[in-house]
Amino acid sequence: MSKSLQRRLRVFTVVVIMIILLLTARLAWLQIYQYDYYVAKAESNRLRDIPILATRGEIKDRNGQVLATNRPGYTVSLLGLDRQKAADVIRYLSEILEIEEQEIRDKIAKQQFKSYAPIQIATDVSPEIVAQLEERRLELPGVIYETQPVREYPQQSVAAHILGYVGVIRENQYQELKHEGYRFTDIIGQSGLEATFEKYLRGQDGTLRVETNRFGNRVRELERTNPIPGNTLHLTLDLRLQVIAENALDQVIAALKEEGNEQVGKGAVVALDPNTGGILAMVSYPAFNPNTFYQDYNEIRDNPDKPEINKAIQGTYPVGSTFKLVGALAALEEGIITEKSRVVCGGVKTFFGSDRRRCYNYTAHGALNVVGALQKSCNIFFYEMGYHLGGERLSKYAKDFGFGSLVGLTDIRGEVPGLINGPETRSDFMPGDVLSAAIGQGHAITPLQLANYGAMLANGGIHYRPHLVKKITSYTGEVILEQEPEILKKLDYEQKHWEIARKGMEAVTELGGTGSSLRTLPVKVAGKTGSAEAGANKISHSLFVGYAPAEAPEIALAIVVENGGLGGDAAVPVAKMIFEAYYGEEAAESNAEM
Amino acid sequence: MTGKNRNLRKKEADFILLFCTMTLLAIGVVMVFSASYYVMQDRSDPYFHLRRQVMWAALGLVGMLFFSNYSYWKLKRWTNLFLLVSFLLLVAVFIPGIGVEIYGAKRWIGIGSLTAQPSDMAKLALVMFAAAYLSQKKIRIENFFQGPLPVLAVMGIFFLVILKQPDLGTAVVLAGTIMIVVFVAGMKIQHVFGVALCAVPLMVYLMLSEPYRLRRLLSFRDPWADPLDTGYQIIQSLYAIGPGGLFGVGLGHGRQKMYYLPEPHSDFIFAVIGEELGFIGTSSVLILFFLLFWRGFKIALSAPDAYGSLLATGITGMIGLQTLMNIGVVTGSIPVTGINLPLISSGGSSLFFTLCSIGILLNISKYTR
Repeated sequence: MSKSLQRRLRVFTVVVIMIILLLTARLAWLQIYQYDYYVAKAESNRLRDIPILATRGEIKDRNGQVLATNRPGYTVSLLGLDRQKAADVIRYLSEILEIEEQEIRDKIAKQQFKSYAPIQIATDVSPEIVAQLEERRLELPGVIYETQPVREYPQQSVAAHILGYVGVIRENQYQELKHEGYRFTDIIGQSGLEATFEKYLRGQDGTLRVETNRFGNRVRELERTNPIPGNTLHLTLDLRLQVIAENALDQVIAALKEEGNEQVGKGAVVALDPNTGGILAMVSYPAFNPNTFYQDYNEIRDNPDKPEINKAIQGTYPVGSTFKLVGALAALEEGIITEKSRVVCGGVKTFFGSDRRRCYNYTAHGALNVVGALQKSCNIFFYEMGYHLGGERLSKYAKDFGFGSLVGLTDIRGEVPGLINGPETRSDFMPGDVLSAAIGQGHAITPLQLANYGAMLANGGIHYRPHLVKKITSYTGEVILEQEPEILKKLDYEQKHWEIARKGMEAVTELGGTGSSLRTLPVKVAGKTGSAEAGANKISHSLFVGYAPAEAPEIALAIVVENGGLGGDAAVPVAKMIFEAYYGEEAAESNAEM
Repeated sequence: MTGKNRNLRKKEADFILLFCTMTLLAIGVVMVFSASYYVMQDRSDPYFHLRRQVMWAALGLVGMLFFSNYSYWKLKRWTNLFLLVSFLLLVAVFIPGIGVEIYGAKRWIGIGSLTAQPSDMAKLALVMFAAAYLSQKKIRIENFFQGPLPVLAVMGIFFLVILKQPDLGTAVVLAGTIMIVVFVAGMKIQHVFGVALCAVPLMVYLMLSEPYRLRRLLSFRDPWADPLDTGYQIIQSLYAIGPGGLFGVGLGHGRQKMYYLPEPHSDFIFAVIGEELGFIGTSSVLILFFLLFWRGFKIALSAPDAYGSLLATGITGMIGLQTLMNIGVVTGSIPVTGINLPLISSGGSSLFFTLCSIGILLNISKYTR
């Protein structure tokens, strides 16, 4: 054994010892000195938060009747999909769920970047399908089903336009809302109260912190933060009145169809509390079922009667003779007439030298004061008023009642301002056009505006903000928001003029009035009928505005039946059915209590 | 027995070497199981790697027992045959049907599920060849063309074949081991520098010829620059070792083996040890390896002849280089090269040949001048 060999071996031993010492130092650095740093790093590498969906808040009517709630539904998701088996799993899922394979692939592609969270394939799957999936479990590795809250509207299509519907967040909504913690699989309110009160109804999702392996497969569950359910909306809406109004409109329209009216099929009813502006009922006909809005979407879209449009706030109509109270109050306020002033109606009269106007069917009403003119809906009287007022003054009073501008409903979106037929809004308004305007033709007025007008007539000129939500409470019952009645405007007309107008409206429902069929109701109704020209070869729109009980108004009501005929043909029967059912049932109830 | 060897004093085999080997082997079996059961559970056989490791360990122990009782100088006569066979097998990995391709590399031969890496055998064969060649009396090591060159040339051929598989890690271990043997055999320092100088352009070429090698080299400098690709392995390894702390998270409780760590039961098993057994565990393993090398070099120093010395040097150098490189990679101290940890990693034929080599070491330890 040579000396050099021994020496060189020793060199090696020293080199090895040094390397081992360096490695030991490195390990000590990593495991002792940097321990905390690496623990934190490794945790974030491994821990993931999976959302637990919060239950959406309920929507209840003024008496606590549930209008929107949630039920458990099955959501089918993929968790930890085995790449090799993916093709088979997707094929089986496509067969069972009846979804295109490509759609499933798209969903996976869109969601897989966070593979620790389940990839949602189908929501609200029926128990039968879940049973099928369960049977074929061995062929479907990675397929899981969880119960998640599904929105349900137990009253089906009742108040559909008010409640709205929910749906999967759309791309543009997601871009806008993602910073508020929305995920692109979230269900959000898409219309109606569901949309406007989204942030109250939504609740706060909980999280489940899970430990995952590299592929995101759940290894175990760690801590859980429970979701906070959304808040409950308490509406001013009276479900009973809403149902009565929907049924009344439906029955009257069905009856008109039966009688051979081929044009009828759309309509709206709005009932307001004249003392608060609270909306008691709001019907837009036809409606849709918010439970199945997306399934029925094509049908809804293709329906010529446009069920998705809320005609109560978006439909605009020439309101016909219901407008005559404007002319009456304007003439009284302007001193053109007093209660005693009479106009002689010969059935026909010529204005501005050559404009020959007539009453309906050339009926000669004889000498009428304002109350009589309202009762008979005499056109000649109100032409006369319009003639004396002129377009500008008439428009001013129309504006006073909220026509031509938003009435202020903000609880649901979409209210339109409509238009007053007057010189301010129409550049081609000729002095003679005031005649038509005075009897309600040429305006564009929403049923909500009409109801608000009814309420202002009932309460003596107070314009309350129409609203649907009275109160919002948390799931524990704590009051989060309470909407007090808000006065937007108060008209300072002379008290006696209001009384004259009301007297006229009360006369309408008495014998000899255009709404005399309402005289037999358990309460005294005040109102005004209307028929509005709908265009050439079109049956006129049938309208009614009024309130009850006349002596102490509780409900202001506006009814529009498109192409329903004269006021008395459609709108008055609807009003009758509503008041009859509402007050009749109430009377029956209080009798039963006694 | 030849006349010369009759004078040798025979003693017991080196106990410390045997003890370290058996302890590391036992740690290996336990850690292979711990590191692999989670992943294998998903493939419906959590005990797969445990069974395989026990089988190869048992086979290796038989080999070790055999070689520790087979007088080492008798190996000389088999050297050339052994070298030839391992070369043929090494080439055979490229023949479709015999060679097995895994992850794009052709390093294995096998029938069915049984595979072996011929390069494991080739390393030992080359060490035996180098020791036998350089210990010849007629060879003058100072003469570069007579001494080092033939050995380096044969090594070079093997190096290139292994590189072609491609298996840079094993090729580097092979070259390094043979360089150690040649150096210890007495190669002149000038020659060492000369060879090293020639190796520089080769290394540069290797780095540039395969883009991934350069990326790995660069990502080693800053693994977080590219955490999902090349830096991934280092990061995941550090995420295992760091949180292990002083005492570890406990045997079987490691989390990084849950698909985060690549090859947790083979190349990155030291990271699992670091996580589950902490600094206590990693330093203990390092101490056991250190004792093993120390005994190895001691055996080389006290071997009765130059052949025994060089053989012991080569075997110890081979195991040592592989160990230090593996731990270097796992601790993020050197760039990633696929190399397993001797005696501990689940390694099949690698474990078998490592145990056979230690058997040879044990046999050399029985003889002293």
